Amino acid sequence: MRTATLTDASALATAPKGRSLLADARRRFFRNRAAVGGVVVLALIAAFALVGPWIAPWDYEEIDWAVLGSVETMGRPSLETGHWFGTDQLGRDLFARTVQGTQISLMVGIVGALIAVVVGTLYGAVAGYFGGRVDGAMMRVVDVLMSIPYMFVLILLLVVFGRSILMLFVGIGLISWLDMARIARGQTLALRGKEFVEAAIATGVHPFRIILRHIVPNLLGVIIVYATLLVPSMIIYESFISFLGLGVQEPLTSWGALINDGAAEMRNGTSWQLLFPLGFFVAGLFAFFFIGDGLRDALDPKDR
Amino acid sequence: MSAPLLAVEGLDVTFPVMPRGAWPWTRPAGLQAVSKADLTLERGETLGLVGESGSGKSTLARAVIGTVPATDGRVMWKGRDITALGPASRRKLGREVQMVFQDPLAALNPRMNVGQIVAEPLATHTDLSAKERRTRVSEMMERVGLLPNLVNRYPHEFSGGQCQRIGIARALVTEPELLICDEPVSALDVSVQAQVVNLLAGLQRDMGLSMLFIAHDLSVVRHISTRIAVMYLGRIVETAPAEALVTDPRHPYTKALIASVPIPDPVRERARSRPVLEGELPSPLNPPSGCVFRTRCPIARPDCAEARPPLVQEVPGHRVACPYHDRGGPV
Repeated sequence: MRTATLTDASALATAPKGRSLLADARRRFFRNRAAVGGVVVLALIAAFALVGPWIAPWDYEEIDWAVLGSVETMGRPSLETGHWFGTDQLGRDLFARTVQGTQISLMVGIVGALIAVVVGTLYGAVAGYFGGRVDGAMMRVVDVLMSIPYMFVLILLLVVFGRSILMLFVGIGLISWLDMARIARGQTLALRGKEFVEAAIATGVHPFRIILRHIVPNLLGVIIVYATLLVPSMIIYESFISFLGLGVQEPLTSWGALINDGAAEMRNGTSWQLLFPLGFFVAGLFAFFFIGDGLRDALDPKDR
Repeated sequence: MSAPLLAVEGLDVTFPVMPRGAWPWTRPAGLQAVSKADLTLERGETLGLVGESGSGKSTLARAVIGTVPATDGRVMWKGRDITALGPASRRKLGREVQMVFQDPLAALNPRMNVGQIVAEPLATHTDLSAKERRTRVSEMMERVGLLPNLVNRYPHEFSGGQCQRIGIARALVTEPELLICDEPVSALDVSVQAQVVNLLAGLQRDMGLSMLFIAHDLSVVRHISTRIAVMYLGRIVETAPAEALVTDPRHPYTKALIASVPIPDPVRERARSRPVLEGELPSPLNPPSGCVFRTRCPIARPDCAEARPPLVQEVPGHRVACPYHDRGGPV
């Protein structure tokens, strides 16, 4: 009689929740202090980038004519002038510019990592699942793309098509998914031999559904870890490009561009122009790395 | 007489194996996992398939279910050759032929909960609504002896026996006609083995299932099967009704196999004489000529190396691939 009542829809709705592998991992992650610290720092930086434009007294492209010409003395960080982080060499408010640069840098990092996750994972999973000639052809394409020096391609793209954020995304998107595709393919090869995949094949599930429902969810652990470690490296690419002077176009800016500007004026006694963007850059990268480390520990069941 | 539910005719499965350190363009050697296998399975029957590790039992099952391609021969499902089907129509057969796997935990996707796992065949082959699927899943879970309120749990929260029940529920939820069990109990404790075997036997009776039951443990197979086929190195050497095969084995390999089944009584166990097979299973890359069993056969004679002995029907329903089995020892 008890089993009869259990089949009711109402009884089913109250069925106890199982502990999924991801729920277990979440608990392990939040026990890791460094990783939680990383999340907090990153949340603060993201809040800074989102809320900053509303609280900044100055616009990021507005020039404070009163400061121009005597930036070393008048452009110091101060609460009275409203230039909380000081100004840059052209008298533009560094707080507003750092907010704007943070937006660009985070966006570049996250978009780059997203392209890598979506394109790289699907590409690698398809190659690994079908195997044989399909796999051979798909992975040779990756090998060829990898053998091209990416910085060279990126610089060429920016020179030929002009400097724009779109081109930067295209360039970073082109290179970011290659490593991810290899990682996903390797993991898929291991998963394809598992009996649950065979069970799905035997059941007659469509291959693309198998990839999406059985392969990709089991790749997630590796992918998440790699993606969080990829975000900072994307930010570093962009910063390097901007440092070379090829990144985002003025008046837009990014962490790399700001650091470049600050470094150029290092000897003129305007160290705040370097230290503020650099502080955000370093804090952001550390946060991402700690989160990535924490995720790796949390998602690796062998390392509990 | 209508066509049998499943008929395997002259099935060959050969895997290409690259010799170690070979150039990519060298022709791979062929590993013959299954060679000219003939089997029939009638509706409602349970066919046991026994043989030692590496004898090709699982490969035969996988060729039937289509996860391993057949190199030659045919697999006839209700009189229709399914090895020639395109991938889409082959997938549709998943509704009628289902499989239970050896490693209960590895056969369940660790990222899906039990409800999703059991519902997958329904989602693939029927267009039931989510609510109807849930009802069917909970009915099926009850039938295999699981509480339906476990649907939200994940595979790693269950024991091996429970995982195997989930696997059975998934296999049976679309009410297939043939269930292929690939060593469904060899990864389980002996006490759990009995439960799972009895569960399968009961479900078979209730649902009118046919089963292809693979195991290397003859006592388990004997308990559940109506007929038994014995495999050695990819060849079927003897098929007979279960009782006839156990009480009156004819092929020397079957005799050795039955002699090796332990008797759970130390006095009788010690008293019986057991002909022990010498040597190892030969390499399937380079099988012996003629009768593949001759290298270990106690009654082998020189002409065994010449031609492969055919499966000959001696008594109705009892086929043996050994022409000399009733001639006693070596001449």
